[in-house]
Amino acid sequence: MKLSNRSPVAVVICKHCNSLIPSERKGEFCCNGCESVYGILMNAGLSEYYQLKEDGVCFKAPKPIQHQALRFEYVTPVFKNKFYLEGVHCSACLWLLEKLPQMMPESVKTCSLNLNTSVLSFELLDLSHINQVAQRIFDWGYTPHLISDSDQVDLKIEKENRKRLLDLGIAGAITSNVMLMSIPLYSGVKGNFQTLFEVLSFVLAIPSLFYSGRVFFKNVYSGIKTKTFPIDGPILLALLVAFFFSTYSLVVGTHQLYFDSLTALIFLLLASRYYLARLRQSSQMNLGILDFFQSKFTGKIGDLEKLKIDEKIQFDGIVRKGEGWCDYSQFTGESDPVRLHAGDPVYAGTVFLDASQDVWVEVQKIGNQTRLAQLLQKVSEIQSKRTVTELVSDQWSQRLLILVTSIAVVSLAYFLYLGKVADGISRILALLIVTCPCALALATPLVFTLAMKSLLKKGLLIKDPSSLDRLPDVEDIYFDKTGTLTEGRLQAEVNLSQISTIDQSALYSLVRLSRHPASRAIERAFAEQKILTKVIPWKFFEEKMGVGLFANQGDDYSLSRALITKSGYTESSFSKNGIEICSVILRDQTRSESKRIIKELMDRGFEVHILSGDHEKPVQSLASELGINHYYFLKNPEEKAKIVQGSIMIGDGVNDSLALSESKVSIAVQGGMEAAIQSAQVYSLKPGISLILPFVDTARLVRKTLRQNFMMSTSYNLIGAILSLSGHMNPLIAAVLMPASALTVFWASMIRFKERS
Amino acid sequence: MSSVQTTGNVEKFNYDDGIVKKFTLATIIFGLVALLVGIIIAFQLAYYPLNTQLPWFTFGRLRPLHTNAAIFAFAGNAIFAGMYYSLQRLLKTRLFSDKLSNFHFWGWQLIIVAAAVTLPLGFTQGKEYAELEWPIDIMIALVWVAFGVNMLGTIIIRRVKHIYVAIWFYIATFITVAVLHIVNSAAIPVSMFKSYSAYAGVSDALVQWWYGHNAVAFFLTTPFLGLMYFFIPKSVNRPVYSYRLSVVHFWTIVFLYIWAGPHHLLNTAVPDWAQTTGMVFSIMLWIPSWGGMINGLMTIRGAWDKLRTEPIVKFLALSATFYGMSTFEGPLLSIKSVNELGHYTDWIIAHVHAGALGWNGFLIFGMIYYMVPKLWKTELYSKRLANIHFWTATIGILLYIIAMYTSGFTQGLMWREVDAAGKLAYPDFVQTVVRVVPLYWIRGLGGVVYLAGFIIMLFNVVKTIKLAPAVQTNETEDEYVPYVKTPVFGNPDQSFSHRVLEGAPMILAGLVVVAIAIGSLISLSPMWMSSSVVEANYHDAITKPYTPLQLAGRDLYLREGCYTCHSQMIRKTVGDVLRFGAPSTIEESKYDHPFQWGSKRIGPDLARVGTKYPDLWHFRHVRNPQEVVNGSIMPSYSWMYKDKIDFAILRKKLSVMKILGVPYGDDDVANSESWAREDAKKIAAGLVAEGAQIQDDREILALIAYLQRLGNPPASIGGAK
Amino acid sequence: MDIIWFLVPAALMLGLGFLGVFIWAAKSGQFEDLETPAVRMLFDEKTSEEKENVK
Repeated sequence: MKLSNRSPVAVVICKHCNSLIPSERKGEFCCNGCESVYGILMNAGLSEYYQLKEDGVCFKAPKPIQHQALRFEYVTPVFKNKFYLEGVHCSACLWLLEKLPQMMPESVKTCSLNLNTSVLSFELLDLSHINQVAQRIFDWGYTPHLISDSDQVDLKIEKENRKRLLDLGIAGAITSNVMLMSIPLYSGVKGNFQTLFEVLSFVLAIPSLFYSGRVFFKNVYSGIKTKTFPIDGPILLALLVAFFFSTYSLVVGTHQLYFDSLTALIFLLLASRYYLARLRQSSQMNLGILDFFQSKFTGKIGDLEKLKIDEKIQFDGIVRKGEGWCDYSQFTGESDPVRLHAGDPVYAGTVFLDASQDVWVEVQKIGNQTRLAQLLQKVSEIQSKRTVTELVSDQWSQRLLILVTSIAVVSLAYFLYLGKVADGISRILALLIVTCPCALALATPLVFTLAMKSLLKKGLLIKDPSSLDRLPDVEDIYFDKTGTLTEGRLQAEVNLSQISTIDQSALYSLVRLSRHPASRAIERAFAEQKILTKVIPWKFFEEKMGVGLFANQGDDYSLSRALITKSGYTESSFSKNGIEICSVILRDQTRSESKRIIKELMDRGFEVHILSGDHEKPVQSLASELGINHYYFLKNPEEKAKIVQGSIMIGDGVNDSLALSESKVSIAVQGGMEAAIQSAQVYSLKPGISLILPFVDTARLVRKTLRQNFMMSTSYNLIGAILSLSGHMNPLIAAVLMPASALTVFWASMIRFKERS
Repeated sequence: MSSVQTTGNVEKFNYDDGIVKKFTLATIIFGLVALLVGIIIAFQLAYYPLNTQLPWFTFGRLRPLHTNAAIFAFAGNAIFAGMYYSLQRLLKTRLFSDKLSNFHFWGWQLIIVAAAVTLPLGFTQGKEYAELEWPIDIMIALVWVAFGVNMLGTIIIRRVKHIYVAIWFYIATFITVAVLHIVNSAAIPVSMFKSYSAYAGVSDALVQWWYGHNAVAFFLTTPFLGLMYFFIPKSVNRPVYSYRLSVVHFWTIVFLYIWAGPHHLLNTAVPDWAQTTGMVFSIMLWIPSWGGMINGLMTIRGAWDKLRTEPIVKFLALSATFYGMSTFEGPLLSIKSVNELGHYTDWIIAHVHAGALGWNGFLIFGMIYYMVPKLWKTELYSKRLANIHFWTATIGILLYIIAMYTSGFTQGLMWREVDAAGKLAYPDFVQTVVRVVPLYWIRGLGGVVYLAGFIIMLFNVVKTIKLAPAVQTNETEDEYVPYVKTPVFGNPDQSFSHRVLEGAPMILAGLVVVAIAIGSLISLSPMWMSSSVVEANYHDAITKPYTPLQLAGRDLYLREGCYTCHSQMIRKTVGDVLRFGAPSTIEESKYDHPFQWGSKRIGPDLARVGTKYPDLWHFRHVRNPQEVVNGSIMPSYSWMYKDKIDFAILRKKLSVMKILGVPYGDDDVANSESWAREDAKKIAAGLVAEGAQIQDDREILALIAYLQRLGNPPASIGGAK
Repeated sequence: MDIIWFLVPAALMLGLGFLGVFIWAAKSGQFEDLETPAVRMLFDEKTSEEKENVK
């Protein structure tokens, strides 16, 4: 992205971030944030940043700086740290950030930025300076998120990559030399030189097989231990047969060597696995940084923090002073607020509601130590450790393997019987190599990885990829009602214009002092109906939890708590001096996208049901609103669990965790995170069911792609097997063709997923 | 080493620009020399009288001067300039040792001057691109090692952790060229400026072309690739298109260097399996090479307008294009059937010059235009002139290669054309020569045009330097925060030896070189003990070693550079066999230290010229070729009729040959002088009897003796005693 | 042709020598980040003029 040097007279682009300056704003910057960063950089003598930006390379579109006054309070016990930075987008950013040691000579010893991952690795000179460093980075326009050292997953991945690369490099160096040396052998060299090349091939094949190839030994060994037929079984068999037979031939002097096929196979297999591993990691990268709360954190352990109203709490702690209401719905799915007293625990992720008094909490856990962060960490750990188990496709691979191995053994026996050992070995080697289900074995995880990657981008966290595998076989979808199909937030239905102005004021003044969801719903109704009232200063006011609101200013006013009435609806009764003025129906609003999604799902052939613990009337009216024929009401968790067996369950909250863990495919929708994450296979980071469609479609695409891969693989294997057994395929060609065919399977899979996004 | 100031963790230091300036100026000066000599020899081929009667001015003696100047003086100085410039900046550190830098510079220029003096004087080892005699070879080794230590030292003390890909190319260059040079230059001296190659015949052929091809690969390609990966990104301000690809292609190349070489020996006496291997390998090399080209060119993507406005980018982009062209043509020429047409012809010359003028030359020009303003802290005097240079040079190259492609195809096709009766359509070699001479004029013109462009650059550079600020420092300041070194092998708390291992990789590299050098020396000894073919003695030998007089003549053949026009290897192709006789065998050249299979046929092959013509024919031919062969472009060698044969040194020569495994008896060696004198007298007598005027100790006699021996005919003069 | 006994092992040794260097490079993290170095090398040292301007 180059700025033209000959810019027009009117400055339209922000001097710092190059985005368009909003028309109402005057000056050279699009926002205060950019302006302040510009000032900071110029004053620090870093104006070169802008020169570099102009002629430099841009990787991502820059965003305007959202300037908030943030304070950073990290506690770091180590000198070497890493920050994930938001806002890194160009080469000038690289230049700027690596100037840190020069600009903060007492704090930063060295630092280096990885443009690919936006991770800044740096070494501190003084442990206590970390917050200044974070602040400076922030001042320069980048938001830092600490990746702590406890992130073992990251380190492990790094180490593994290095090891894989080494093995691959060694295999590559050896293979290329062995291949070169086999050319004279194929070209007919005889005599001492022939021996030279043969011996050298042998010598080189040893480290290739027993060092670079040790992963095959390991896999087969662990497969045997867990009593599953290892995918690497036939491969290892082929390698060992090739090696020992060739060695024997070398010694005896029959000149039938397969060292080139052997080394080529090892190299090509390692190469494809390396490539696949890197691909997987790039889809997992984002999961390692889940410290949503770091950057907004404003306290340290031991501080006494006052809880802010309507804000997500940023830490775990204990209430020390005051009382109030807290909304746990984000965390546990409880829609009823929870009353906090002194000594009660407080959790990051929950929302504090009550404004009637100040509540002071002692901070106990921050950042990655909070219960919430730990939870998210667990998810990412599970994901990284996860092996793809019990997939339908795996079973097919297993069967194929056993089949091929049997054929190989039988053929070998046959050739031995006929006395044509060399010929036989050549044929079965080719057979074993070319029919390796590697294409399937590698492509299958690739397909899942691609699927998960694309779904993650949309906001679906997939804990168990087998969910994608199972979905196409299921017809029934059960939806929980509250919070899934509905907002989970109460909506007050009352015709305010029907009641007198004085009564309107009274009602408003009652509810404005309460943080109860019902009260707030009524308050919202006033705003929605655009009714402005005066506020009555009560002589007396009391909120009795579980009973209602009571107040007096001349007259007695009360608002009863919401109760299910005969009509089947949840109603709250507003009374004056004991006489009801009106009743307020409190319902949970249906989510806007629910109807559309349900229709789409039904069009795709699913049977949609509502499964709720609520009363019949609300459930029924929702069902008819959404066009759903089957609905269940007043079901308790155990009943729910029984109903959903073998089907898809979509829900949230504590109420649904049992059902989620029992269903065949389970998707948890934002709301009841903790429990849901434990019990569901998939977690939607967006509220509502909008992400169900992509999930369903992706699962079907996965199935289709797997099927396609199967067909390709089977046909390759069939052709390859026939050619091998009939002697038209030599092991070297097989060693090259097999990974080549695997590659085509990979590419075919990738193309499918590319088209989607 | 100049001072490093440290404030906190920031180190302030200076780059040594002085050395870069020196090398840059040397590049320009010697580039001029190389081009001038090239033009001279080009026109000497077009118009033979330009050879004059000065011994040191003939084509045979000047051609090695041209190739050495172009490769070592022009390209050599250029790569040092570019390497030292980029190395310091990529590693954010000053060169390891100013002393080594200066030794490197002055030593290298001394080598060039030595070459410029010795080559025209006829002091040559007779091997292409390795003509310089042994004292200079030793100097090259020393200076090269100094360069390597300087570079590796800089890498060890670097402040940037990551070693940029360009530097890996430089490292590979250093290590490989060191090995190649040491191995190929193995020789035993006879006198101060005369030595014999340790290898003979086919062994020498393989070593020579293992060296020769890799000299191209690791002297003219890898360092230039490194420079390309530095200068292209810098000049367009874009990162390399795929850095990952560049790293992969580097390691692919260096893991794999066995069989580069035999593609220069296709269809010769080298066994088929070796030829096939060389062919396959060379074809494979096409892939990483094009990876490099694409990477270089695509780096300009997003900045294509710079191609229009910046001469530097023009030069660099076109250089990468020529690289692509040459690395496609090379593998093409490595295919046996294609090679059959092209070998020995001007097609090879076209191939070489597209690479040298296009890939190397243009990269150097781009580099010079980039560096000079920066080094002298000023602006380029005239961009317009630089653009003119570009177009001029391009036209020059085109003229050159089009002429040579035409000539090459003409030669190849004419040489092998047979008529309906199965006889050669052009039985006289000179017919093909006469046909292409007009193209030599065009080629010369191409060279002149290229030189004109070069002079424009020279002018531009001189003006630029003149316009530079009066006060010049030869230093550039910079500052950087060094990375924290962590030892790779071992614990930082361990002993000194372990801390030293920090630099393990570079020391490893050095050890590799030393190990291979030692290893090669050791492995050479069996060679000298003579290998599979055990000869009883001279008289029983199937292939007879050269008699002392023949050996003297052979050395004259080398001195005059006859091999630059004549080959001595009849291929197993129809054209060759019909024209020159039975294909050459490995046997026949097995005592040839160095081998003289040759790589070009400006004149006919001489492998079986022995006894084909009477002595008088040779006598007259060498004195006045045009008199004997109408249309010949061969120069005359009149001094050989006046200068005396050095008989005294023959004893030394034979004893050295004996050490190298040629089966001379002790008395053969002892009597070499008298033996030679006798043979010379015989030849002289024969000539005089035919009416010639010649003293019995003149050089021409030795040459005749040698020529008559080629092909080892049974009754050659001066043969069995 | 006996030179093969030298040439092939020598070239192999050279190749394996480079392999050793490769191993060192991999171990010391030279292949960690194969994107950023390509951008980093673009930054020039400041000329003294530019330094003056900044001040």
